[in-house]
Amino acid sequence: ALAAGLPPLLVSPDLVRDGRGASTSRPAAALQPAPAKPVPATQPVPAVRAPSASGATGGSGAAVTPAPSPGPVADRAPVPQPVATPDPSLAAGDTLIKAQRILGTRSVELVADGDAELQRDDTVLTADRVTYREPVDEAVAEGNVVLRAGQDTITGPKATLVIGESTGEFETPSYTLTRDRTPTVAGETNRKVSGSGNADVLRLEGENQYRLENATWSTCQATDPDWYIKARELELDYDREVGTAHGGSIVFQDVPIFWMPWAEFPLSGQRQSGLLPPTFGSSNKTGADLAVPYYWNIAPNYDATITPRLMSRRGMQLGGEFRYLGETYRGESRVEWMAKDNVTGEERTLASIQHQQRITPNLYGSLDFNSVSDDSYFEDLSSRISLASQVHLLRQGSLSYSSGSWWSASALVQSYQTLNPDPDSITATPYRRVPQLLFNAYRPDLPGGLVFDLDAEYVRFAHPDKIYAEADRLTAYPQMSLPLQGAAWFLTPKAGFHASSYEIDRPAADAGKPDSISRNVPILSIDSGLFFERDTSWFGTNFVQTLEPRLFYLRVPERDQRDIPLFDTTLYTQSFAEIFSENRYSGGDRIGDANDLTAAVTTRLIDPETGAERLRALVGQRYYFSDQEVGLFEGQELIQAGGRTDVLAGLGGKLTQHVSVDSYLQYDTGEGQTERFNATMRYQPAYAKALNVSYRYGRNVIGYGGELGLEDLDVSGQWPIGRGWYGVGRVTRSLKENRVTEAIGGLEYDGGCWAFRVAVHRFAIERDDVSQAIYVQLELNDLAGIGSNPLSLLTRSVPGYGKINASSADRVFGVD
Amino acid sequence: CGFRLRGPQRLDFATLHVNVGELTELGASIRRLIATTGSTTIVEDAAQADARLQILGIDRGREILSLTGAGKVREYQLRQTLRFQLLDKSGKAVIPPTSMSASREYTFDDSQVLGKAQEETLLYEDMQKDLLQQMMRRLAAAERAS
Repeated sequence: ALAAGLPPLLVSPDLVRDGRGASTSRPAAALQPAPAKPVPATQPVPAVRAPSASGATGGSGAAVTPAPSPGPVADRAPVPQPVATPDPSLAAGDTLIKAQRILGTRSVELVADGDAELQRDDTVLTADRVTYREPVDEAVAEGNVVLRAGQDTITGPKATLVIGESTGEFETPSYTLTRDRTPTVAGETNRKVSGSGNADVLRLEGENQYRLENATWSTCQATDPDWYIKARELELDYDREVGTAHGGSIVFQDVPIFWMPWAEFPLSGQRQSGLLPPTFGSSNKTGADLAVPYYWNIAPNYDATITPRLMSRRGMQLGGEFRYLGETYRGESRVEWMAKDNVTGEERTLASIQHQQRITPNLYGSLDFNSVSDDSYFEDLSSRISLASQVHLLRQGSLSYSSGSWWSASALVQSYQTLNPDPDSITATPYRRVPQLLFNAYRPDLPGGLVFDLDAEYVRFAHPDKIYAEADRLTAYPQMSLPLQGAAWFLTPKAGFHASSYEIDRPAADAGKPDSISRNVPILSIDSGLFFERDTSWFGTNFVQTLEPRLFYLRVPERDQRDIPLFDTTLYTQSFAEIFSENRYSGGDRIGDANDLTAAVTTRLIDPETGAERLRALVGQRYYFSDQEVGLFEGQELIQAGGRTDVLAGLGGKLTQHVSVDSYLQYDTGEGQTERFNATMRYQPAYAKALNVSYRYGRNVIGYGGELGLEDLDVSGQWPIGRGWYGVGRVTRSLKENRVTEAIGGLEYDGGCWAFRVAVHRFAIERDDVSQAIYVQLELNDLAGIGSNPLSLLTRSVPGYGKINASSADRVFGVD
Repeated sequence: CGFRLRGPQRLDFATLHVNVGELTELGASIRRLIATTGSTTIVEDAAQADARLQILGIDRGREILSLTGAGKVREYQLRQTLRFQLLDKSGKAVIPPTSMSASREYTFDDSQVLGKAQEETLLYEDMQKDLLQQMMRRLAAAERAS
């Protein structure tokens, strides 16, 4: 019963079954599973060269199929071969053996000699000589061995394989293993990632599992790769898409640059797991800065990273990050700790906890807690502007309940840690909300097309500083609207009643003011618009041009709100969104009185083929029928806002295929002066080739220490300068303060399967202080970046920036 | 000057399934927009629909636009990206995954952090309306192309 259960075996040319030298009894394709009892060949098998005319040979009908010539063994990095193309007529699970000569005994051992080829499913094994032992499904291949399975190719002088189990061993092989990278975002295009290299021994340990000794691995395609991982023992697990190197190092341009006793690395460019190379950089705050993260994969859904960081000016810092993911929860915690900062002489710490939990299918909870030991923590220890500019660190817990139908509710407890590193510019601590309770009801499906919306809120405002008033505020704002909409028009009349009451604990200075205040304000609005369009042509391209006038009337009676302190309320930045909003104040402490009409016209150019918008222009103005009385503060200048009629205009989109603009103008017709003007122009003729110029002006934008006025000029770009080099940079100059507030200069080199970047970043953190940092990074494609990462800095600072070594499938250019 | 009132933005399919519930703000907005076409009705059973509109994701983020001389944020830019695709009954893409972005700017003041959080909400809602309008134009164009 040796061969029982084995799949059918097709042999071409088949063994001689009678004295005439070729099988004529039945075609090989009809051979059934080998009988339970081995039937030896009737004769010692001579070397038979089967006539190609014989229809009695292999299922393919081609008796002698020249095996594809394998690459010379000396050339150990195989050129990626096309996907193995097994004989299409071969049934699933069948085995086909072809060679110039076939010797041996069916069901015991066959020796295929000369251009030997063994096929099963998507596996094709070719060699000078293949010995196949059918009972154990084992093939021994010698001489110019090439194994192709799916998109994988392994070549070598000798291999022993158990075909069905995908196990076996290659001696001194070269290999290329290719997989499609699963897109991280739905709809993203797939791309292939290949890892290749060579080894003393390669063991196949079942499908997708490889273990190599004294091996190399690289994503470079070349026979002499610019970089590779070299390891005493290398495991490639294509189920988890993780490689593990023991006793390894990374070799770049023949120089070992990074030694690792044990490391996991991603096989398909998925960055969330695997090798964490050291980062290094330098800044004026930290001095030379080296961090060596250690990644600890505790369990599939738990991991930790422990990062010792050495700063030459300040000393040693220890960082830890812990991530976890469960069916109903996920979270991330981070700590940083320095026993003693050599500059300040103090202990410095950071703690951050983020946790989200699904408590029941409708109830979610979340916790977000952030804390640092001192006000200068980020300025001193981080060179990232998004961190260094932080003033308030959030500390909040929330619960939200969504009924799955027309109502939802939530509860929030929130406070902030406020950082004031600069004694000349003190930021007040925001109010704490302990707690805020929200209830929302929304019925868009009432009879007659009516929509009902109720926003209700209870909030307790508390403040650590006793010179501030504290209060309980209760608000209910029921609204009823009737959105009417046709293809060419819309009309939305809306009525609401905003009711609030306050119980205020006043500080001694405000003793005379009332503690209980209630304020009820009806709010009426009518929003309406029309849509016109025409076919037009600009610069030889056909467009649909739209013309969309919109009118918004708002009526809110005036209520005296001067006794209500400001807890969460500020004036909105004027914009197209703001001029169509019901309240010019955010938060609930001021309901702006209004009797005004806002008119705006938008025109767009639309690609008639795809419906994509190419260019838009807007102009809008608000007309006041009466003066505004409600201001933020008593007797302050905004009371006179009623006299102003600002004109807003905007233009944005693509002027030509390569030139895009975005601009905004706000002009005060009453005073005859420009309030805001922003204009940005980008020229981007190709991927990773962009120039931007931007000008920003704001007459009343509050800046450092309460000073008014903003005027910035900003130039940035990325440009290829030849031979794989790219220049990248940005300069932001404050024309108002006459100083450069931010500057970036960088050089990048694309080495094919690696990239090198160096960038210098300098930005203002206080009036007389700057943060300066240098980032140096060597990125090995689809493996890791070594050195600190300027990519996020460049992506943020240089609009149109393209990662120069991104694979073409990942390059998103000119999206609309 | 050649402008005329826009005709109904007829879609090429009589029934449409949307993968966002009708009681969410987004789901209700999409349903209202589809209702204006006059040609297409929403069905809640995906198997019954001639076409399926899939909202693949809404990403929101903010970037620093300008800093004060003291390195504090003076202006932020908010960016919202809407990704969607339209599939026919057999699951074939009529509109392949498409990404559209909008951005809005606002001045920031660290002493007004509570109020500014609500301003972000206002701007995100405005961007969402804008992006849904753009998506509707693409849905209408898909009909012309096929």
